[in-house]
Amino acid sequence: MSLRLEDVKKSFGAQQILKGLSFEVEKGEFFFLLGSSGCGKSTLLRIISGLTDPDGGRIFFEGEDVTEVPAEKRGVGLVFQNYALWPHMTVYDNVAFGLQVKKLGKDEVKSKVAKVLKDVRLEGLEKRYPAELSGGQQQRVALARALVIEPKLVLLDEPLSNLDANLRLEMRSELRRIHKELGLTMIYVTHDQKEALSLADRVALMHEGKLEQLGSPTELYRRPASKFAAGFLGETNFLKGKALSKKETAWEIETPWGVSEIDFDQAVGLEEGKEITISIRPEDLVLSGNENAPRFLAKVKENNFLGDTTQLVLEAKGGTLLLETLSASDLKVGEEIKVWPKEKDIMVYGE
Amino acid sequence: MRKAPFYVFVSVLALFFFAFLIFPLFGILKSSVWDGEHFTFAYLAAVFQNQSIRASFLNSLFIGVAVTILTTFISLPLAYFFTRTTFPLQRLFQGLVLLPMIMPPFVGALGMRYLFARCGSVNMLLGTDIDWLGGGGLFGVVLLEALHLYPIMYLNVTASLASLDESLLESARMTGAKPLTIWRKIILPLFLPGYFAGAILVFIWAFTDLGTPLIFEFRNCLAVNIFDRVTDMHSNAVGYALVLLMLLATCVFFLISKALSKDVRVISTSKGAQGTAGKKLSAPTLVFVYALLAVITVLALLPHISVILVAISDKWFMSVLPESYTTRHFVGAFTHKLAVSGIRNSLFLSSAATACDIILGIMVGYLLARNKGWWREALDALIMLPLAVPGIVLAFSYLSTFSGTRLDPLKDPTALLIICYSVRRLPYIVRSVYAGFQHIGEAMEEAGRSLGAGFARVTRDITLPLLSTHIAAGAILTFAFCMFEVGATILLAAREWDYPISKTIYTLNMRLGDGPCVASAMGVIGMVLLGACLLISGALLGKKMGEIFRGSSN
Repeated sequence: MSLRLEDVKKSFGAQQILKGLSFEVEKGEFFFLLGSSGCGKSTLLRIISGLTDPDGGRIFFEGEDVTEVPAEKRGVGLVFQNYALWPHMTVYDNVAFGLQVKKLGKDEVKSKVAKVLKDVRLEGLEKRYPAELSGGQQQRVALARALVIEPKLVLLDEPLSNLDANLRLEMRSELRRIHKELGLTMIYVTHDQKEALSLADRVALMHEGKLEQLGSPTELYRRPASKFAAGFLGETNFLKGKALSKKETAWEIETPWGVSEIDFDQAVGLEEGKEITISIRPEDLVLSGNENAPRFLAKVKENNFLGDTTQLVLEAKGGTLLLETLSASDLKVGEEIKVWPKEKDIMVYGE
Repeated sequence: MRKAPFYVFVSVLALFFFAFLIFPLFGILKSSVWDGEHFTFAYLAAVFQNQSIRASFLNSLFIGVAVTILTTFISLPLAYFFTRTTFPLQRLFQGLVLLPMIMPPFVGALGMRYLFARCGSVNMLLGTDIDWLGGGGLFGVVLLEALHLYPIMYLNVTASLASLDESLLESARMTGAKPLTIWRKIILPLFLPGYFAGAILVFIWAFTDLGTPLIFEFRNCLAVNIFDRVTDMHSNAVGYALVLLMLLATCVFFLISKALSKDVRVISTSKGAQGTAGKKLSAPTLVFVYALLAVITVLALLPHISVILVAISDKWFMSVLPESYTTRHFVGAFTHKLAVSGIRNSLFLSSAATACDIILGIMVGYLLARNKGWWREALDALIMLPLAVPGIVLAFSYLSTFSGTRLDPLKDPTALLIICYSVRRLPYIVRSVYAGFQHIGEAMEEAGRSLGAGFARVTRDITLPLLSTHIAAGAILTFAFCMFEVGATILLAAREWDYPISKTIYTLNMRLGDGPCVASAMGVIGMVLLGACLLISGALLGKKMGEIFRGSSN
């Protein structure tokens, strides 16, 4: 099912939580709402589910306005952050509830519950109570309960945040499998960028109640639309520079490694003669290259061996920089080295 | 917000509270300052100029303060040792110290007179002539009420201490804070709100209690003064002014305690039950604890024992123990017309009031826990107002408001007694239900809604089953309190066949001959009844309690 939001607003008291959000989610998409806590993403999810009323704006399911439709009539599956499993009901009763509400026959309920429990790999645990399950199992029951009513849309509110790291990885691939197998439209709220980047078809990055950027994980990572987006997703280095002039096909900018030219799609909000911020990812700084290519000198401040990669902390003209390299580096602290920036992968933002 | 249930609940509650709390109390205010034609302070002035009323007021104040202090001294060590340490027989003592709850102080007073009067058992035993009940019964009143009310204080203090999670203290210790600093900065700020919440209940109860002073014939206190003026309430407005004085005093103290017990929201992050990991006691401390518990338990059970003795005494005059024993008073209690109807009436009235409170309590709990808005605080204040309104004040206001109407208590007090009990005990059940709603968390209900269940279905299948423990806890407390309500009962129940237990006991006690003994026998029956109620529901609750704790392990 497709979803469209038009200028959705919400305030709690004097505090404006959502400042007019509009976007569309396509049918079958695994869509992520990403942002730090307090950015309004959970409120937005609750508004989509119908549990919270927006102050303004409209919500459309398949082109139909559902803004005034109460939660129980929207047919949306919702997985709560703390699961909200009913402690007085068994796994079976928890999952069957939504079907019983729809007044389905006993046999139909039974077969549907059995199928969904198989989908989430919980066969045999029907008679257990939530308290007798592990965190990961509780998570699956919550998922099964939302899925069993065959919702047009599944909403997940930080569903993995209560699990430990290993289980989280396992559940991540489970979710990917379930999404693929059932062909569901899913909206997933998280503050964990790794979850978003690894699972999402598209990500809406939210900041202070506004949409900061909407795009595929690669777009968000490689072409962040703002300094905030660049800093929020993955690690990056910010360097000072200056916008010199706008040419026909590119911008000419002043960088710590000299004057460079960058494509227009690498530049956001530049003005001639004004200061700029250059964002360059640690993996886009390399330790070897053509002597004629742009490069700069830096001093090694720290050399951190991380197992699969090595992270160098460098002191350069523009400030302190992080550099990540795959080759195990035997550089000594204090050593002076040459660093080549991959100019095609940098982003530049006007002040 | 669910709009339909919201408006239904608000309308029902608004109507109920307006008709049976605001309007009658406003009547008191009006009658105290309105002589039918003019606004006047004459009645209030008369109250303040009257020396005996002034003395009564001070006596009541003394009773309230003294009882609060005494209960504090009894409860603090109990709560500390029960929540922070472990020792053998702990569970037994935890049950024993709550026993006073099953008998109201005015029943205890029936028996204690035999022990502590000038020519009572204690003086006989010691060969002394000491006025143990002191000041015309004043000390007796204080002692009896303290012994009855300390469980309320103990329960509040314990809850407060239990919310003081060990990790909070440990993290304070890790910062290098000295014990005194931890006390001042962590323990007291977290502990005091709960303490004051309990203290005000105890204070208001003691300050306005009518039954105990009546049995001890200590007439020089505010409650008895008001009681004495009921008969001429329609001709003498000073009674109204007196009631207003009592109401104002309780409201002022209530507001002060409210300010002192401002909600501290305890964020509970630890899993399962808190504060149960107590440290083991050293041998000398253990001896001290047992001695303390023994003293408190014996003192607390003294009224019970004495009432039982009176109930089975055949002859008891100028001797340490009764000279001979009999069961005929119990036969009397079961066959005496007044006694039988008293028990029947009380069971019916208390059940009806409890049922009424369960319905109202769920409505209020829902509104407070599941809705936001400026009116929440107003509603909360309104619901808690009955805690500050003594039973006799409310009953007095009903008498003046509803006499001559279809609810006239002189014709049939049943409806007004049920309503009066419900209004006064509603805060207890609301607190309990509200805590339940908080405990469940809104997500439980939202999960149901998101699966297509409407309000009624969610309420039936999710909310009520999850709330049942808290509803039961609140209902038991309500029922127990209603069974032995004194103030309102004595004022409202006018015809003998309408008397509930408390007024029957009071009436029988004043009859010559076997009267006090039959009254005591009834007290014992009530005691057994209440004890059984609490035990049964305690067992029921214990099982459910476990379920709830298992369920909330995430």
